[in-house]
Order: sequence, then structure tokens, then C-alpha cells
Amino acid sequence: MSATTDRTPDPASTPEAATGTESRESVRRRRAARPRGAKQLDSTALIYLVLLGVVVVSAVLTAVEGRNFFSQGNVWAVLTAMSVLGLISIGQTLVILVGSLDLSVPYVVSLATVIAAGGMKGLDSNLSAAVFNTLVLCAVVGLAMGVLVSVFDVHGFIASLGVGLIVSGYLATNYQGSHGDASPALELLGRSGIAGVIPTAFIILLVAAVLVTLLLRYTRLGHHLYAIGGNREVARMSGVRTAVPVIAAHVMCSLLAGLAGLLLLSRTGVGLPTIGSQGRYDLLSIAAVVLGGTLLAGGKGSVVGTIGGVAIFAVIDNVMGVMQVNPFLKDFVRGLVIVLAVAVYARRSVVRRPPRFAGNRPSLPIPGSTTKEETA
Amino acid sequence: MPPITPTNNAVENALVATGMTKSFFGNTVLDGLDLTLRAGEVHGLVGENGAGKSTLMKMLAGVYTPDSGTIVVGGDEVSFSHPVQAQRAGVSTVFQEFNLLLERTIAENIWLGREPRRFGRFGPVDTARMRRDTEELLAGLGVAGLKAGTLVRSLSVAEQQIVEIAKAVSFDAKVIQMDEPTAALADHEVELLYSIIRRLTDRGVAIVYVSHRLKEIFDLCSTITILKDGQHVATRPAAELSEGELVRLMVGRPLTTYFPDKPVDVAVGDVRLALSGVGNGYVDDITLDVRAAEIVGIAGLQGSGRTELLETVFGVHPVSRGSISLDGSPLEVSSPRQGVRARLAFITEDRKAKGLALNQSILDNALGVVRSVFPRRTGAARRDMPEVLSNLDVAAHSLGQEVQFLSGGNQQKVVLARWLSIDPLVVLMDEPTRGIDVGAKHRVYELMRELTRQGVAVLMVSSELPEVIGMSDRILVMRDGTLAGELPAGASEEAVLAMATGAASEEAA
Repeated sequence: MSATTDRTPDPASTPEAATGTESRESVRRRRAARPRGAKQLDSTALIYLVLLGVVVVSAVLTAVEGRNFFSQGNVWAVLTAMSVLGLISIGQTLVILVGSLDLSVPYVVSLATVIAAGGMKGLDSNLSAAVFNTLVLCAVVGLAMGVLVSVFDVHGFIASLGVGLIVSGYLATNYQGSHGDASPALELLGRSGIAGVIPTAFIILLVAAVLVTLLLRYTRLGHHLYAIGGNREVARMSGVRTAVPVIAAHVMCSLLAGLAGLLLLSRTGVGLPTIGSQGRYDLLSIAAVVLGGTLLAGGKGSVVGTIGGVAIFAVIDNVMGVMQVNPFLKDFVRGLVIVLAVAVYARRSVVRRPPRFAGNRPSLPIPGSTTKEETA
Repeated sequence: MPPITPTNNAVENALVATGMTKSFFGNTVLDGLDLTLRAGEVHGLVGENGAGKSTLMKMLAGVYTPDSGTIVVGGDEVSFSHPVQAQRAGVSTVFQEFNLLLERTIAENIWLGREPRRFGRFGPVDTARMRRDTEELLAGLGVAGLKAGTLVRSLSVAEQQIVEIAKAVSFDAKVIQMDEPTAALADHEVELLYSIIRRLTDRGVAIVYVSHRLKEIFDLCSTITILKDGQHVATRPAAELSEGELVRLMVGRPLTTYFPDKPVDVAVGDVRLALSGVGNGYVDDITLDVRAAEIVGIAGLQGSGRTELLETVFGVHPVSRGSISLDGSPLEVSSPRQGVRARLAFITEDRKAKGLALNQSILDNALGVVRSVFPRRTGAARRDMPEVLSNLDVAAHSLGQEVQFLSGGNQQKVVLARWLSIDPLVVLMDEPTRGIDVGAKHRVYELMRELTRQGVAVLMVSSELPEVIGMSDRILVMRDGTLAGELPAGASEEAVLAMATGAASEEAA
């Protein structure tokens, strides 16, 4: 024992310790090995804190324009704007969590509007069949991507880009301009809500968010989504069948995009083959997911965070609309928000190898230390 | 501290492996090995790097499938094609590289792939039971202060290892293999590990303990199996072995590589590179010097801080204590770029990850350093490069060939050529002959001699003891991030190994 314990590296006792580099190094160390008690602010809490700040600033700016941010109409507008992007972003969260990506969502949204509108032909009697067909078609698109990613090992970026282009090509060749007609019942749903403040679409979003959160927390599928996104090899070595969760995530993502398309249809009344790409739901949904604290590489994140990200975008868009900011500046602000958020997360999650000579980290109590003394 | 001996007198065999053989690409790495593990014993597995310990462990863990041989666990013959099968049969392994998800909780990691469910097959995951079982498991290991819901990312290395062990135990393991479990642990954490191992053996679990640290082997193990070059050397009760005997059994093979003679006309010059009390988060209190025209070898176990020492000199890790000087003037490097500007060359351990751009051409790789750090010299370097490469006997169709299609030896020569192009004053070499053939090895050795003839100082890290002993003018031995001592050229392998493992280090020095 004595051969190894007589060496005691004590930086404080050496005169060279008081150099400039020492302080920098020690700051870095403190960051790397922070004590467990002083927990960092949870990232979801941080997002909602930011959201609160954004709401306050928006309320002030809106007031300066002589309007009320919290007026019935404006709250309705913000929540409506949230619901479509929100549904898509929930799906995107699943796909990103599992370590993939879905760039096809805008085309799936467009596809859903034209197929559903075409099937309804303005009649309530066609509603359920049209909705069913639309969702099945979307699920098939997701299935194709999931199989490409999991079985053929195509990266999600490429698989969804390819499938998205195919869908967009199909839409461009077969549909010019608006198509079909939404059923009156669906359009009524688009206008309905609670007390003129909370639109039904937003309630649908909340239900979806709760269901997906439960799925992630309380099903094996959910646990395995995180595991595969965190480290596919570790998951495989633990006996997880890695293909199933990947496919399931892609199918659910496309289904949610299809549902978002139906919500859009309920407002537009007609199917529009370019409504998804105009909404730029691919990049906005990815941005919302990342803004919500989900790791782009997968394995960490939550739907709650994503909803927060979507809300931040919706509020910023809303206030810029009220202030009649020009569209280029709008994009500038959105871009700034995304870049800043990612920069903040990147700083927070720096991983380092624990240093060997790190000073006195609080250590675990050694159990059975009495027996140790007996034997020694 | 007495070694742990099986407490139950009914000594049954937890695992019997016979005739375990494995070869890769016609290269036999393990040849007909037998291993018997009794329930409740700690069985030490020792041998030099490349002796076949890891291969054996991986076969028992179901990572590799043996070419031949049988495994019997608890009386039943088994064969594994997947780690989960091994775990279900009762053989769990804690690898040196942890298999943990950093962003998930302790409980989620332990029960991954077999999360308990409520109400049968389609019910929700029973998170409460997961938490309860995890805490029970940790309590059974005598660990207090770890919560089932804590993220693995926020745990220390020692705590992560406990999670790995808990996961191994959770399969109701009869055998737990541990690969260098103390490599990343501090002294007091080693005590904790010992106490956990004791609890496990009390329950009749057999432990396979792989370590380079002979002190631990003697502290813990009741039986020791020694491997060398894929062969079984001996299996003895620990009580019948002394540290000296063990080291002798581990080494003592004939020298298979010939090293070029030291040139007689070259005299060692003035001090070129000097470190005085250098320390940071990875190494501590390093004082050494390397003279012009001198080769200094650094020996030590994996994880002893050898690579980190070279990286610190080169500017990868900042120096927080002590100072470095080059040719008498202080050297302050805080990035590899500054290291290169000071004309230090660093041949990294892993050439594929850190030495080469694999999908680029030989020429682009060879010019990589000069081009980015001394752009004005690129033209001259480009002119000279064909000659440099042919001097090194690089075998390739053309300079435009992508380096990924070259053999390991030729890749290493390209790495050497890229560093020669900056006319280095000091060459830092980390495992310079790892994974290359004998001919290329010999060429690397010759090059090292040529460098000394030009007055270059060479600081070489190597795990191959014959190489360190055969090439170095002086040998420095590292242990636990500090220098354990210095040995003269031509020291015996036993002496180096004894110093590196801390076995009777005072006598050897």
C-alpha cells in the first residue's frame, strides 16, 4: 500500500501553482466536476423561463403599438399558430430522439391536405373515410422512411430528403392549385374552441403531447427510443431490437404531420399542394425541437421542451406580425433565436474526461469500513 | 489484506471453459486455453498487452464467438452469439469502456432492454418497480448515496462503474468479469470496489479480475492464471506465487525483433527538451530532459498517463504547474499549432483517427502539417516529398493514392513524412510501431536512428517492452500519471514491468 500512497500531489504546496494558467485550468475543472448538490437549471425549466421572458417583452411591444397581447383574438391567433407546427414538431422530436431526422414533413402535410380534401369533396358523409385514408397513406410514407433508415442504414437526413422529394414530385405533377373541398364538419372544427380563447386545434395538440409524453416515459418503446438515440451500440448490446423503435418513430412522425395537414385543411377549406413547403415546416420543426432542448444527435429531450420551443416561435412571430416587421427581419430574428439557443446548450453540455488530479471531489462513503480495518 | 478465498466449502465450478481458441485473419490470438472458475473465488487473469486476456473475456461475454472450445456454466454447456445470451446464462462483463447511456438514469440503464411492465405484455413500464429494484440492487452492493433516478452523466467514473457492476449483478450473474476495473479510479474508490467484490464473492459469485496492477491481483485473487502470446502459461493459487515469479512468468520470451545498432559516431548533445515539475489534470510532477541526438523511451501501463504527457508537451492539454523549455528557452504552447511552430513533431497513437485524413491522397496527407502551419514552405516541401517518401520505402502506385488503401506500415510512413517536412527539433512518438508489419517496424527504427544522427531529440512512448528497451538510450517509467523512475538502456523487461506495476519498485530502482 505504501508504495502508491506516499505520493501526494498537492498543487497548493508548489510555488509554481500561482500562475495565470492555473486559474484558467481550475475554472475549467470546477465546471467539469461540479458538485451534485448544486444542480444546474433543468433545460426544460430554462426554456419556459425564456418563454416567459419572450411573452413579457412581446406584451410590452404589443402595448407600445397600442394593442393588447392578451386580447381574446390575439391569444387565439397565437395558439392556432402553435397547433400545426406543434404537432409536426412532436413527431420531429420522436425522430430526432431516436437519432434520425425527417425533412419530408412539409410534403406530407401538403399531401394530407389534398388527399383529404379530395376524398371529402365537401361532404360530411365522406369525412371519416377520407381522414382514415389520409392517415394510412401518411403512415405508409413514414414506414418507408423508417425501413430505409433502420434496415438499409440510410441516414435519416438522406432517406427523408429522398422520400420528401418523391412526394413533392407527385404533388407537383398531379395537383395544380387548390384541390378538393373540406367537409363542413371539419371546417367547423377549425373555427371551434373554448370561450373564444382556446381553439380545438390547440386542444388536439395538447392531447397529442400528453400521449407522446406518456409513450416516452411509460413504454418500452419510449425507453428504447432514447436508448437507440443515445448510443445504438449500447442499446444493441443490451438486447434492444434497434429497428422497431426507429420505424415506429418515423411512422408516428408522418402520422402527426398528416394530422397537422388535416388541421390546416380545417382552416383553408381546400387542399393546397404547396402549403407545407410554404410553411417551411421541415426546418422550423427541427429548430423548435432543438430550441426545446432536445439533442440533435438524439438520446436526450422531451416533448414538453419542444412545445416550449414552438411557443417561443409562435409568440415571436405574432409580435412581429403586430409590429408589421418586414419578412426578412422576421427570418433574421428567428435565425438569431435558434443560433443563440444552440450556442447556450452547447456551452452547458460540455463533456470532459474527469481529470486525474482534480483536487478533492466529494467521495462516496466506503461501506463496511469497519470490516476493512479488522482485516487490515 | 488477505486475498479473498471462497467461503463456502462446497466448492462448485461456476464456469469451465476448455480449449478456447480464436484467430483473426489467420493470426491465432488465443490457443486452446482452459479456464476453471470456482464459485465465490476471485480469479486473476494476467499477461502483457496482447497476451489474449481481452479476447478470452470477450468470448466468455458473447462478444466474440470462439473458433473452437466449450463453455460450461453451472453444469450446462452454453454457446453465446450475443452478449445478452451470456448475461442470461449468468456471465456478465464490466468492460473498461462502459456501456452506459449518459443521458439516462441509473435505473433506466440497468434495466435497458428488459424494463419491468405492469399488467402483462402490453402494459406500461413499471417505473416504480424499476426504482425499487435498482435501489435494492445498490443496497445489496453496500452502496449508499446513489439514487435510481440520477442521470449517469452526472456520476463520477467510479460511480458509473458501480452502475455497470449493478447491471451485471442484476442478471443474477454467477460469473462477473471485470476488465481493468481500477484503471480510472482513485485510491479510496479502489477500496469501495474491493468491498463490493467481497460482497459478491460472499454470495458465491465468481469474479474474473483482469488487471495490470499486481498489487491488486495479490490483494484480491485466490487463483491466478497467466497468459502469454495467446498461450496458457500457468494457473496457480495466489499464495504460491510471489510478485517476482509472476512477472517472470508474464515476460521472459525471446527477443523477436532486431533493433538497428546505436550509431557509434553520434554523441548525445545538450539538453533539448526539459520539463520541470510539469503537471495538469492528467499528469503530475513530471521532471525530465531529453538531449539532442538522444532517444528516451517512456514505458508504463495503459492509462498511466504516457499519452497525456506527450499531449501536454505538444500543447493539447494546458500546463498548469511547472515549466517546459526547449533549447534552454521557455516553451509555452497552448495549442498543437504552437507546438508545431516550435518545431515539435507528434506521431499520435491512433493514426487513423488523429494522424491521417484517410480519404485524401498520400501527397495531401504528407503536406498537411507544412501547408497549414508553414504555408510558405509548402512549395519546397512538395518538391522534396517524393524523395522523402521513397527514402522511407513507401509502397504505393502514386502519390495521388488515397491513404486508406495503404497498409498500416505505409500509412505510418506517410505520417512520419508529414512530420519530417517541418524539420523537427523534437519528435514525440506514441506507439510508433503499433499495428505495422516487421519490415515497416524496422524502417521506423532506422529512421529514429537517422533522426538522432541529425541531432533530433526523440521521446517515445511504447507498450512493447522489447522496443522501449532495444531503442532507448534511457527508459523512463510512468505510473498513475507520474514518473515512477528511470532505468538505463538495456534494462530487463522484469525491471521495467516491476516499476510500472509498482511491484517492489524500490528494489528495482
